[in-house]
Amino acid sequence: MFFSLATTAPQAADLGYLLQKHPERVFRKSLSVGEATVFYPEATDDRCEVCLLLEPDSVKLARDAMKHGNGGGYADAKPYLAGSLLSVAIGRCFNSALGGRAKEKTERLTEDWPVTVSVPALPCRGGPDAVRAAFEPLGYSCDFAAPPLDPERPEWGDSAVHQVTLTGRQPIPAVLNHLAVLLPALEGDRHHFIGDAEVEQLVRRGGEWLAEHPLRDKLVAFSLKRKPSLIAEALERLDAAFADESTEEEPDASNEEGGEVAPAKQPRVRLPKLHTLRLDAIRDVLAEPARGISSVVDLGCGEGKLLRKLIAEPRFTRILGMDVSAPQLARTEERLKLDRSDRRERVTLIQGSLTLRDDRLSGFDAAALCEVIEHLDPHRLDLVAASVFGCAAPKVVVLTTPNREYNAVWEALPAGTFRHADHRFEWDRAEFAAWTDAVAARHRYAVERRPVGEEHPDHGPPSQMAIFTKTSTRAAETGEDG
Amino acid sequence: MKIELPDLSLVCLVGASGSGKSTFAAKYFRSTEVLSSDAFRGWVADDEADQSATEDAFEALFHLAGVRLKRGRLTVIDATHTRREDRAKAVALARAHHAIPVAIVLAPPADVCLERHAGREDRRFSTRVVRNQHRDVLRSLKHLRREGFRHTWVLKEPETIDAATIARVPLYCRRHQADAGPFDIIGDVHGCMDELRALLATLGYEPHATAGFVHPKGRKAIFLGDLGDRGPDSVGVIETAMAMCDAGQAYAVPGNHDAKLVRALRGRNVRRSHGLDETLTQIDSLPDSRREPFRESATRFLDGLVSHLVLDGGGLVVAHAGLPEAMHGRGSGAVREFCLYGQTTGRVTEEGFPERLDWAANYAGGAAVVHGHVAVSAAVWRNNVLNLDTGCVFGGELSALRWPEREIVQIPAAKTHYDRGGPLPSPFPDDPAGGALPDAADLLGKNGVETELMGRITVRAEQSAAALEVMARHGVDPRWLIHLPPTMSPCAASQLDAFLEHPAEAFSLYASAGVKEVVCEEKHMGSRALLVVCRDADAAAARFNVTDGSIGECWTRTGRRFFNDAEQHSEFLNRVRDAVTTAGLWDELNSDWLCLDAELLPWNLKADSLIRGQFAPTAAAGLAATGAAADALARAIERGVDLAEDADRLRDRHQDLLQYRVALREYVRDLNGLEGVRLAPFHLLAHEGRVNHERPHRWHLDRLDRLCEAGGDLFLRTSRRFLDPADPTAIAEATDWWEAATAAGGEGMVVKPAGFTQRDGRTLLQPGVKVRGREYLRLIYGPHYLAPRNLKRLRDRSLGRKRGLALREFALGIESLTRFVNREPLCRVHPPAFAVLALESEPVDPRL
Repeated sequence: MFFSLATTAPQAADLGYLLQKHPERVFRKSLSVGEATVFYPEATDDRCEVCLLLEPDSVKLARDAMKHGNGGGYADAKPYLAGSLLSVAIGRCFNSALGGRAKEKTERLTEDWPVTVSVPALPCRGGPDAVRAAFEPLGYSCDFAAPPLDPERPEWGDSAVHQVTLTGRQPIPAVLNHLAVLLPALEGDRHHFIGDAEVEQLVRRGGEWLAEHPLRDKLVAFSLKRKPSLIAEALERLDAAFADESTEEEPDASNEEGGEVAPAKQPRVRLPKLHTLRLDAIRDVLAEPARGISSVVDLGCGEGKLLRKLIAEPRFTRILGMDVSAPQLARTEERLKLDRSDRRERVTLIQGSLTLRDDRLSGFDAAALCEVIEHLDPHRLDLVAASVFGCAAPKVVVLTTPNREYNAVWEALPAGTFRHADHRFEWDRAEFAAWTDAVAARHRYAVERRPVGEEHPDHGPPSQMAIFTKTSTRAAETGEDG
Repeated sequence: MKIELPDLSLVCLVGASGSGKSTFAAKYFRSTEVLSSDAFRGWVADDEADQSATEDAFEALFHLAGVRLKRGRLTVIDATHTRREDRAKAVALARAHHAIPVAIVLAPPADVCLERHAGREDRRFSTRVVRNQHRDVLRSLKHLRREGFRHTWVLKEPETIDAATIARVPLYCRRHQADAGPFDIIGDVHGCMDELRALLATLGYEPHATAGFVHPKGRKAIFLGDLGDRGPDSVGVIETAMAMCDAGQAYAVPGNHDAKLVRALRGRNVRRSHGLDETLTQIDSLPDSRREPFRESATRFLDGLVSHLVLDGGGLVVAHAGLPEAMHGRGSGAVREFCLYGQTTGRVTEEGFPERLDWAANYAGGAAVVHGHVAVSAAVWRNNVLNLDTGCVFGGELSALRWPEREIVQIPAAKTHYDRGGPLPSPFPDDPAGGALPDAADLLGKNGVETELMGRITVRAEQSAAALEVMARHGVDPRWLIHLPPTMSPCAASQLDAFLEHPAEAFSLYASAGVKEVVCEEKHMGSRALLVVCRDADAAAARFNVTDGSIGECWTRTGRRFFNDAEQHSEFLNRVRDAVTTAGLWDELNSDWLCLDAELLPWNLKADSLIRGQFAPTAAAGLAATGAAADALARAIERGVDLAEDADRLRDRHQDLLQYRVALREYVRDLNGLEGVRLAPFHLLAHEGRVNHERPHRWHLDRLDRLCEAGGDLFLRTSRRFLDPADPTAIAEATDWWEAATAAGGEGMVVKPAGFTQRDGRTLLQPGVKVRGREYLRLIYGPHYLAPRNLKRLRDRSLGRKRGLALREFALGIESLTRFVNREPLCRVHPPAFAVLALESEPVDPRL
């Protein structure tokens, strides 16, 4: 909600001409995002400092957030952060300067000014590194100070909100454009609507510097709320306007199908191709002709990646996908185009849970649980085993889960953390063997374990798979007892 | 003629046109009991004589007859029934509903029929038809029994028809329905006479010269069948049961082994397998003087046993192999077969026993069903069904159930009398998790729940879907989940200066509803917690079917386990349990378990990440930004720029944020394991036999005070005041009390009608409303909510939806507890609890 820009350029007070705001007056403006005030704490020829104070209406913010189903209500730091709201205010208060226009002293618009920008509360999800990565390529040096979250609770550590000071030599319009584009991109979550107008604005403000920015794609993706179609359009237009040799890299946010993906709440470690390997491994086991499997249920089908592979195998004539999340199922149904006539009969999606007994799951040849169990509380695993192996009881169950030992191989993964924020546990090979053996014995299955992914000599494979095969029950014979 | 009609019959009146069937029916049956083919022809074709409508008319008639039989209503079909295939349809329908097919034949001389026929103008067919019908009726008489009619009465003279009387008699299985016991129900004995003697002695029975054993207090024994075979003294057991039954000291139902023994004793060719050989050898080795009398009396006794018995006003059903609800109190070959053999899949288990269909897994009937037949490792209630065959003859136990006390009494087998070739199986055949797996069908796609307090409460499918996701991912073991707490509405917005919530609004709410006394309870700022605590692991196993040694569970308002650390979890529960023991509540409440509604503190125990990730950063960011802005404003003012008002405003904002941080700090406490954790119980919701929502809050708080005292550090007593919400002096005092407490950092208070569940006329009152403190509300409505411009807008909040939800969730929560206390199956207990969670997905301002 606040930033200041100070300069020690010769005739520093000329800043007022470039911003079209008189240094001795106070400029006030009522905006949709709150009350904006521009004033100068200092205005001499040696040093001039301008401040933009934006006071959002917190009651209105909370109401809007609730109206759009973004939770809202409780404590929200947004009104105090230098993010998207402040960016809007910069746009409205310094519109001419942003566009490189002034009425007087126009010759100084393109001059490099020594500037110091202070932002007392900058949210940086990626930490100081992310801020540096955004501003340093543009020629700023960055200083950070993080206030403690609460001085009386030192054990809580520093706040994730940083006090940032940027220094550099830049033309004034460039500084404003940098802030207007980068502050919201760094904030990372914009709840309001994003459309063509935002693409237009981004291309205009970003211009050449954004086109050449090493983090261009990421910044564009964050700015446009990771909407693939808009991101593509913005990148195309940046390329067209500022033709360069920029990389062919895919935007970080779009997945292989080009579908829309909500921004992950927690940074997720990228595991290139491992998931594909895993899906292929499961598909290959299920498709082995000797097993004679023609009906499969995918328990925890999620976005349907395994289902897609199963659908591609004609030998599976009946496919059921189950997931606990109804909205997820609706998206999957659309993504897999299950309304196509050849799939309507063959593939069914149902909402359900592994912790329930469910008659709809019985009568299938095989069940797959691909990276599912580690998302469940350990004290409920026995229940899950009972529901899958005891009640649904298919002939074959294929199950995969991460091998914790392998985490050591990934440098990016801090020691002792899980691969995914929602993992309740990750097992090493011995723990996996013990559990799968116990389940097999209890529910009369035979179990075989296989590695998935390239094996490390010490740490084993990245993922581990167990194939359970039901041991045959005795043939029926009549008998009476009591 | 005196006709004794079983009270659940399908009566076919058989007779030619004009034989007087309709007159007969009108005389002896209620008009609603009689389905006449003429009337149905009229209903489907507007013409009772339209023969072309006969087929459709019968289709409708049979449909209605089926519905009536399903509901247990005696039904009379008034049609000629002259054709064999028409009668066969009726018999099949009766059998399908386990009703008794009965024929009453009216066959007056043909002339009488013809005379009546001639007198009626609405009959268009010729007299020849009537003659043929008359002839067919007479010819059919000798076939009726073979066609499946269990009783037939033939009335030939008009005088006999006029003089007939009809008495309705209950089916055999319901003849003792009014007998409320008390009973001692005994599982499969299989010739284990020593154990039976010991069991009867433990139950308090004394040997008797002629009646076998007699209970001095008049209790009656019930034998669940399979008296003999496999064990060492089948003769002794059968003789004992026989003597007790003959003397009116006991009831017995037949088992499959008993039925087979009868066939053997009658000289039929049966395989002497499964222990029958031992029994027959024992009989053969009786001295000559006893052998024949025993054979004769045992045959008579065992053959005369009724398939199952409905007792205690319909609350108890006993059958050897159990019985699904649709067969209770009914009679048919299928019922008898089920009672004897149960239902099998046709497959055989690893041990060579028939695989059984687990009817009890889906049992949802009102009556408790107690049975034997399948030997299992433990006698556990499941869906209000108890299997008492704990395999005594296989070296297990001989079990008995005291009814209505529901206490299980067991005598271990003296030895393994018969080798089963494997351990006894779990009592949960179709549910390998021991009853812990709810059925998806019970929780999904239902659109409402019936409650005692508010009638039917609608739950939409998408709400259920959302709740399923929450429960499935994080919920506690569903066997514990007998309740979820309702949400609570705040009081109406106050119009007082600088207050959003104020006690006056809460008092006037209840005063205007005619409540004479309310209680103000201190509201603790923590997290809502529900607890079930049992006296010990055995009690947990017996009442909750949880057999992993745990003694209870503690969960959040979304059904999630409170303590993630297993050790902390069990230490916490043990300490709560010990406090209940010290406070003497087990004996006082005569219960082995109880359910507490409580607040668990400190707030950061559960909300740590929320505090660190949302509340504290708001203060940190706000203070940094307002601090920097205030500093810049001061420098501008110093050089003469007119920003004085802005500086004041920013100073206020900075001050708001400092107070916000202070308010937040109040609710954060140091934690080290359980050290620092406090439990503040405010409702003793339920215990064995009773839900306490109609007991006054004084009753709850008195007991909880003792619990807090007994529990020491772990517990936190809730301060409270009782007052008349219309008494100005009392209101002023309570308001002072509230102001002092909230000024000192308290969250606020909850105002409840002192009687707990109260109504104003027919309207259920809010069970409580909260009045939150001024400073605390900064955390909810933001640091600057008290700024006049903000407060003005925040007062405009609508409580209607929140209040509606609070009531519905309250009714649902009480419903789930009531069903559990009434020992309804889990599949009936879960839907209301689950619906609470489903309703919580309703979009309501979370700040309310």
